[in-house]
Amino acid sequence: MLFPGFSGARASRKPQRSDPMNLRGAVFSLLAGAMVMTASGQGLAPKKTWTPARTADGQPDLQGVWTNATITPLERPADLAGKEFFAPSEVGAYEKRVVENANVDRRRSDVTADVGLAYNEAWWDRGTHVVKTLRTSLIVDPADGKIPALTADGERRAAAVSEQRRLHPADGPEDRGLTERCILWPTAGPPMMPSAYNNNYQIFQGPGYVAIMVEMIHDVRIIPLDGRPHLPSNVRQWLGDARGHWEGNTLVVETTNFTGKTRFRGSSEGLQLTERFTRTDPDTILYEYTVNDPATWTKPWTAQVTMTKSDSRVYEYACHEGNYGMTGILQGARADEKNSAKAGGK
Amino acid sequence: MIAAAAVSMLSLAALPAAAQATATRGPRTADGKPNLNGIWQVLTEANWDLQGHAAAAGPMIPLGAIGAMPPGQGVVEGEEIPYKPEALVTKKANFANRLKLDPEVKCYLPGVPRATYMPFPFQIVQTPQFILISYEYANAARTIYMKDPGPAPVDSWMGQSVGHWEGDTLVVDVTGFNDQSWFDRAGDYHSDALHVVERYTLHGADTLMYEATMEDKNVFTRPWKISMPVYRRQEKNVQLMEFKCVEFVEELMYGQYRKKPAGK
Amino acid sequence: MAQRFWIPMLIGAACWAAPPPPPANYTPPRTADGQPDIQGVWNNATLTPLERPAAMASKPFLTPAEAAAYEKQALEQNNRDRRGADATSDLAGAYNQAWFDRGSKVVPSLRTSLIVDPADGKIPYSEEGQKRMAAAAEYARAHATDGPEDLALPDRCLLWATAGPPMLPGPYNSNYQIFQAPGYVAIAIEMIHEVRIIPLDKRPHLPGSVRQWLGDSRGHWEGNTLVVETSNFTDKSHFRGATANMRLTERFTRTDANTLTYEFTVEDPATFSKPWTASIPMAKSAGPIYEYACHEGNYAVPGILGGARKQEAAAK
Repeated sequence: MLFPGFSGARASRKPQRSDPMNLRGAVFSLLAGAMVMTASGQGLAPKKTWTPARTADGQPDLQGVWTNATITPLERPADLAGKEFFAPSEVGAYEKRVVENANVDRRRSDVTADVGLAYNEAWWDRGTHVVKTLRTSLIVDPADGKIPALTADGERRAAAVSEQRRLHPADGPEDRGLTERCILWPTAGPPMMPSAYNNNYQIFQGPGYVAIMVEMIHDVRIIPLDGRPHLPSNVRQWLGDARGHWEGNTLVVETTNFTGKTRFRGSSEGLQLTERFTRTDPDTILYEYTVNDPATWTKPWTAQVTMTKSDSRVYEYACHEGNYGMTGILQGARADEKNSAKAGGK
Repeated sequence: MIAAAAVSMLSLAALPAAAQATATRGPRTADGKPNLNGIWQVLTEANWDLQGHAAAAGPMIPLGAIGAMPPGQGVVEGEEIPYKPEALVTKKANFANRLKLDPEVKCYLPGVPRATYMPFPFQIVQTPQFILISYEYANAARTIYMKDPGPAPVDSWMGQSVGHWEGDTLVVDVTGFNDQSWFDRAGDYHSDALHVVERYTLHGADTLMYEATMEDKNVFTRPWKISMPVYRRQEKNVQLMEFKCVEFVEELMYGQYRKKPAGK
Repeated sequence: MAQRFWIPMLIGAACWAAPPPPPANYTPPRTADGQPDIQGVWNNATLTPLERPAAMASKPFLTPAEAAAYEKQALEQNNRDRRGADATSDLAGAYNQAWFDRGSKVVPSLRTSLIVDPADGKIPYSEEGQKRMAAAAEYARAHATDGPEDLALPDRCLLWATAGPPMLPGPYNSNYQIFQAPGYVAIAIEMIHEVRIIPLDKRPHLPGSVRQWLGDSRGHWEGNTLVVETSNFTDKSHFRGATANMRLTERFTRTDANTLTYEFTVEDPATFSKPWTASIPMAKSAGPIYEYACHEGNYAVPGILGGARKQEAAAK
């Protein structure tokens, strides 16, 4: 696995966030007790007693700085197959184990593997906790917590991409991932997924709009609420084109007009994404998304991530401006070719 | 879409009267402040050259008239930017080398105030605690803190913006700049000591009067000011679109590192 | 580039000492915002040259009979459909008569130059001005066709004398349409679809660092005369050898229903030993103004330069 290029000014905020384990454990128990688990995978239902405040123009208030870092994987790990939820008592040990295994400051057996890890632990911020719903995967539907099967076309495209990468890992910038190219991070998506670090968002609400500023890469999703039509179908965008409306206390965002280059988990340009944001308590937004892409998957699938209020700020992630990674990778590849050509006596 | 619209109508009906009262475009927000919400864009040629200038051929012959510089009457109060003599030498060298040096060529973040007068729209989303300005160019963005968070913790391209109201004028104090951005395509530049104070004042519902005062003891002999109107974009259903230009400059920036086809 | 046709003069019996005065009792109508109305399509083609020909040095005015004879002779002499001595000189005439529109009359005042001051009807060049003109002519001879910048401004489709300013008649298309709206006079000039938009408020000129081909104009009314002051010229237009510091004052007066009297004064101490003034009557025209898409159809430049390159190659 090739690490994303380290670029630009970013801050790791782990040391600054005050988040005592004991308090969180207590909160989890409380939430777990209040949870209503349904067959359709609703998971965390809003506590009946908590209603969000309203913005000046009457929208349920989602505003603030939020983080979605979590150690819960998108898909249920094989060794947890059939287990939809953790019991509260299991969480602590699981978290400890996962966090320790992920710690890149653990010295590796050989120098090459060590260097291959690239960054020290200080740079990472993958989270230290499972999602507040205590699910074992972010995917809630299908029930097995795995992405549904690919269609034939989806498989063909995925195979073509793999083959291309294998044959041309670094011929030019287009061969590198979108994060290394400083074009798009999974934290922006959409859907907005936790990633290596900087899993931070700030939500603003003005009359008729919800705006989500995504730290990486200072993308701002400005979502109009007025029911206007989408952009023309010949206009495609990296983050698609989003339209929102409120259903009770849930913001529903429909996004279309994706390009074929975004490729969320292999999606096509026909991806239709529905996201739902519900603030379930002062410190939590339940973020749920449904992926609908008949060209790629045999059925739609849904995942949930809990977003937690942060007392920090969103920093400027000037990715491209400090992108030494790209030049390093390409120059390195050209040097490798030269060296192997020399060695091969060509 | 119709079902969604019906649901959204129901939602609106369920919301308190304040929801319908406060439009995106209306003189005051619900908290009584001038309403700066909306999509805005300048019409000046400031991004080519802040100072008054006649039209001129561009630096790239193949672009012909498309790459030429349009004329501008200038937006600088007093017409000239007050460079220190040695700094003016740098500015001129910047201009001579602008194809290589202008950060806009490489799709770098524009800084402040240049972000305001790029030939792209921007959107203001105004809340009592924060005012978000999202710029279509390179999806640059900045958050104006309406409550001072203290000194900027780190230097950045867009700086740290702290705002307050003086009567009906939004005053934004921007500090914490790095020295990387330019003010325009003519090589006007600054150091990391730059301090910018902006003033946004509504003139009627569809025009913002914008002023910015620049101070930088390393580069200028005194503070200097620019001003220009900013106009509301009034097309039906107008929205910011993506101008993710990083992709468009990859060939320019990394093309020399491409693998050459066999035989070359 | 402009060819002068020296017309042999018939010296008449009497010299006119002064031109007939314009009719004194004409008051132009007013536009809706109270400006004297000078709107419409106007044409300033005339057989009278800017400068008095040497042959007429002692004759500031023609008699009517002399004028008629002059006009007849001029039309005959200028007629491009007259066959030349040989094929080569024929070809060098370039266009048929149909293409030209130099006018058919001298000015009504019968003055033998458009210049009214100095009295000798000649541009008063200073010594410095003459030196510069001579140097420029020398350079032009040595570099007639090196590149597009060596060609004349009309050939490059950059600027015609009909636009100036000042606005002088040209070989054709000497047509103008004037529009007036509150606070502005706009002069649309057929060649090359220039529009001089002249504000009448008291705003300052553009900054001195900004230079324009047609300069920067500001206007105001003095009675029934529109006075236009123009500065901020470039150092590329060289009106009759002038520098970028040239200052121009134009006066437009509608002296009767069908005549707009256009007078201009040129000042440039670096070129002229004193300011000089010319007067050209503009005649009401049926119009319309046509689109003069000069650059879009400019076969001349590639032809001239390409031809020069071929000549050079052939000479090797």
